[in-house]
Amino acid sequence: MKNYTQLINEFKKKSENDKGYIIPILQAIQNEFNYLPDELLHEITAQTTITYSELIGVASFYSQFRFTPSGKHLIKVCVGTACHVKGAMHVYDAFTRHLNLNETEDTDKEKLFTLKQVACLGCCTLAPAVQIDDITYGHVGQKDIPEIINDFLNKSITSEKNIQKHHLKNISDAEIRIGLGSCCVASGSEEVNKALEKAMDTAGINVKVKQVGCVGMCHNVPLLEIEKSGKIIASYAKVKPENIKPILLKHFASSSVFKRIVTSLQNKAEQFYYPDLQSTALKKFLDYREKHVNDFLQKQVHIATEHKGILNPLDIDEYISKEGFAALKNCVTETSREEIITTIIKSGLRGRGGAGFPTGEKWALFSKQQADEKYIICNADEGDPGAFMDRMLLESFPYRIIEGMMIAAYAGGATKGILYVRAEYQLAVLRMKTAIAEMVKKGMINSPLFNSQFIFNLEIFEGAGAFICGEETALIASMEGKRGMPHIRPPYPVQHGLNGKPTLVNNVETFASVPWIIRNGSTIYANIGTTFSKGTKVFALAGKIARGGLIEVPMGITIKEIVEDIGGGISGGKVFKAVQIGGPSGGCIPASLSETTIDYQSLTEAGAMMGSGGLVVLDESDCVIDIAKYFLNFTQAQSCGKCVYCRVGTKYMLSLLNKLSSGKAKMEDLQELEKISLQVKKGSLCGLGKSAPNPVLTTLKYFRDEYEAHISGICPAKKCKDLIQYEISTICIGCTKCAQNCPAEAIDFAPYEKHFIKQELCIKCDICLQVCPTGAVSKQNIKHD
Amino acid sequence: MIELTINNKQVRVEENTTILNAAEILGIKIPTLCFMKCFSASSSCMVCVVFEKNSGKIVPACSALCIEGMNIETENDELHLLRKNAVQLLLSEHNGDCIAPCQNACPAHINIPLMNRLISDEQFSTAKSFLSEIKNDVCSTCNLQCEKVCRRKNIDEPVAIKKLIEFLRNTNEKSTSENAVLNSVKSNLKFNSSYGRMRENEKSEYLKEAENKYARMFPADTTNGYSKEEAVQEALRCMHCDCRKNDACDLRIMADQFQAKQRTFVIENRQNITKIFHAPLLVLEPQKCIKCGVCIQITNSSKDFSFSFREKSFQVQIELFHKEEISDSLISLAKKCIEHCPTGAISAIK
Repeated sequence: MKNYTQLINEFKKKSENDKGYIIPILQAIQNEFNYLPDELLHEITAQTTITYSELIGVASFYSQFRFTPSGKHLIKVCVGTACHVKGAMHVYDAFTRHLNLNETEDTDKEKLFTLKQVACLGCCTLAPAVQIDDITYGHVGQKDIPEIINDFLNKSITSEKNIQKHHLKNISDAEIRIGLGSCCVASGSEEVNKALEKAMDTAGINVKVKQVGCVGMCHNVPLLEIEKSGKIIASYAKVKPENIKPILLKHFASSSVFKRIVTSLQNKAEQFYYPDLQSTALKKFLDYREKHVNDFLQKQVHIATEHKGILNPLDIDEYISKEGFAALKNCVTETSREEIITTIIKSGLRGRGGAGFPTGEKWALFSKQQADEKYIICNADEGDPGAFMDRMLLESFPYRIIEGMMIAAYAGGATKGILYVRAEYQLAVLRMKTAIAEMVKKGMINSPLFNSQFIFNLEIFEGAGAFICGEETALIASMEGKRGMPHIRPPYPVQHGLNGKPTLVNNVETFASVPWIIRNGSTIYANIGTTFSKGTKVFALAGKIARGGLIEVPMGITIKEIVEDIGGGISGGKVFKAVQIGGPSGGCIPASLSETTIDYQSLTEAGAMMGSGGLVVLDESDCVIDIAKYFLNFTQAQSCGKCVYCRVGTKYMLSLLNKLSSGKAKMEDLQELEKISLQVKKGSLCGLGKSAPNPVLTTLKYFRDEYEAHISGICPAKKCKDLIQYEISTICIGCTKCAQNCPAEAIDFAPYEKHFIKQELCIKCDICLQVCPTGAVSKQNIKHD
Repeated sequence: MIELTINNKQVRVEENTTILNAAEILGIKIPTLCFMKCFSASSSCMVCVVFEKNSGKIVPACSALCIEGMNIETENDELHLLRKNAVQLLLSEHNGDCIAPCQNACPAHINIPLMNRLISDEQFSTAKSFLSEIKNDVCSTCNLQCEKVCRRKNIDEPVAIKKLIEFLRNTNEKSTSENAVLNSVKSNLKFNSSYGRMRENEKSEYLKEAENKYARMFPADTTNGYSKEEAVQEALRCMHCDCRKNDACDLRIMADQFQAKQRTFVIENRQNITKIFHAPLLVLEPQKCIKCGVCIQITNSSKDFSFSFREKSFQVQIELFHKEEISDSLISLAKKCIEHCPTGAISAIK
């Protein structure tokens, strides 16, 4: 047992106020033991001014902490929006069965695994995603679970988790780029990276391998790009370790092999090599950055994500070589604080965290505040299920975000910055830490910047997992060691924020847009977009879409353009039904309104909202009641529990939705649902409660017929478990595959004869439908029209 | 100074004045429930919501600060509905009885649980005073409504209420007329919370308040009924279903004022009733809590006795931690919490 008195003392030294380190100290204990042993909580109470009740209050508020020992490994099943629509709950249930857990247990008998649902792992394009400790698995099917567990156990023996390793093997002017964003890693880019190293060793080739941040084309990961003489000569999609050797030989075996074959394919999907589809795949080369055939990138404008897929996230010199810190230098050495703020005001930039408050105005208000200390907080507590913009920006552009923060700090007269980032985003935290260390080394942080008087200090605060902490007053409360409960504004944080001092809180994307605006001027930025919504917005495009990923689009683009042109339409030949935009605070916009433009006003008018940038595409197999219920479940569980409308009102709404999805609702319940939704919207204290009814209200508005169908016992999308049953049709060839996979032994079978489902035993886990090779299994409404 | 309008009346206030305080200056009363003077506002009950006409926003008056030029309306149909629904939502998560089912069923509205407690304390004469104003034939005509609804019958058999009443009538103790006791019988509050059926795992909670060693007591003397000892034993079986603060409960008063109905919003899976005894300090019934957090404010600097919220959202509950050794300071803190808790969530054991 460590000396915890010492640990506590270390924290005490760091902060003047004991309460300020409640969360960090609980995190230190949680990381060590995987839970919070009671005797250590008492130890903290004995050593500090913190009371035991405070510790309980705080620890029980945040999802990161637990009070009972957990298994050796933690399995996190992502139930974010994108995963949800792709069957995450089926996966979760399958894990429960695999680990033999009953309803109240979360840890298996051997204490090896603890199973947990998490709001979003931020790998939406790999949905459904599962993370075991720090290894992420994408596209998880129910039947893959034994294999995943085995794979994990094998990996954890020879565990190597050094994604940060730089390996620069200098040779000629060629470069191999491999994406190492979370999605890429989860899809196996690390294995590819290892195979690459090995292959180069055996082949005696020495090419510079560069790890780059998110490329944005998460639907094609792992992505490998080969650059020669400053031009990309090949991009390989969905690369597997076994493809590495042929790829290397093709490009680097001898110089005579370097031939650039240009094709003029119009179809974007064929611009990439899919080595797993064609064994002799290496036949087409294409520079997709030069060709305008690339729809995925064509309609995008990269400001926050400038140089995406090119920059090594942590190479500070490379960032500088690409105009990095030029904006900051200009601000600190040549521009007055007022001029900077005027530029931001003129640019029309609005807060990208969701509410869209004009950034420049906030800065102006902040700069006017007089205080001995002022804080800049970067809000990276991205919590929307189905959103991963901030994670990608943090992982890929750490220096740009810091630059934006420093410009804001300089303009606002602050010297202390805090990056508030979700603890779940381990890679992002790691990258930001490294980036800060690099900048300290360069004398940019903690030292006078560019020989000026401006000394900036930057720290990281890891959020402990509470959606409400995305709200700025709740975020500040959590930093002060309190439960993340919001309070009414005014006072605004810019006047009275962290520790009572003026505090400017801006979102990651907002800060990431700032250097570009300063470099290019407010006019160019303001020319992009619409009258009231300027510039670009980063979206996490996921769901039932052919090409998902991180996209940055100009304001004013239509939903249709995003779905069809950038996203390549609905995958699997299904019909486009709606987009869910803005996450739990947003709403569903139906396909019929897909000409709606992306700007603050139009989205609000349609009943949704810009939100932080989650954009989940739904097809005809998605049930809107299921979606509404999903979001309400989320907001209800994430309510801080303070005001009655959010705490109890949303619970009541959920009761009504459950009634609907189980076919027990009456017409009156629909009116009741509408009434209470409007009351919750009006009566709640903060934005979480005020916007929680949006997913319900928009679906009621645009899909009322579907609600009514549920009242008559029919789920048109065949999604609501209580209303459907699985049936096997006569095209069954009697292969027994479904019966072998059925966890409930609910399939009556004889080889080569048509199988039957024993409805009374069926648990509706969907596995028979997934494994049937002939498509004989189908879902049917129990009650027919 | 800030100038604003409330109900068409101008008022000038200092900076950082809440709308509630500004209204008070004008003599305008805004209903409040979770707000308590001398404590910082929690804004959890939302009963004090008011309408700001310029922004179209609805804000809680107890914590929303006055801003120059505000135009506040404190009464309109929408606000009334929001306030009433706020109370009704609070009631839908409020699990407990205000008055016990037996008293509610009794045509003479006898405070049976209190009577039982007096009997079990051997205060027979005080107990007898309950019956002085009640006609002798009430029990004979009513057909044991009290025993039919007695919650004890979920465990074994109902408390023998009729026999206990007969015992008091027959006893030769003189009835006193203690006003305090009589007053508690006559409450003018009409609202009564009732949580419905007792659940299996709630039985043990109720039995914390009662003697569980034996089932219903049968008098040895069948003609004259219970002896004193027998009556005491039987009275001890009563489970104290009535709320300890039923006449001093702000939630009940508010429910009465708004003519609120408890079952307007029926929520699936209500929380289980728990009665947590921290003898000799207090009894905690978290399912009666409205989450105002006053107890947390009162005890936030004490390491020996402090309340906290546990969990969040619908699961949030108050919890008490105190050190085992009971000192005077603990007792005084407990008393302060009992006094300020607006509902029966924190109350004195006796």
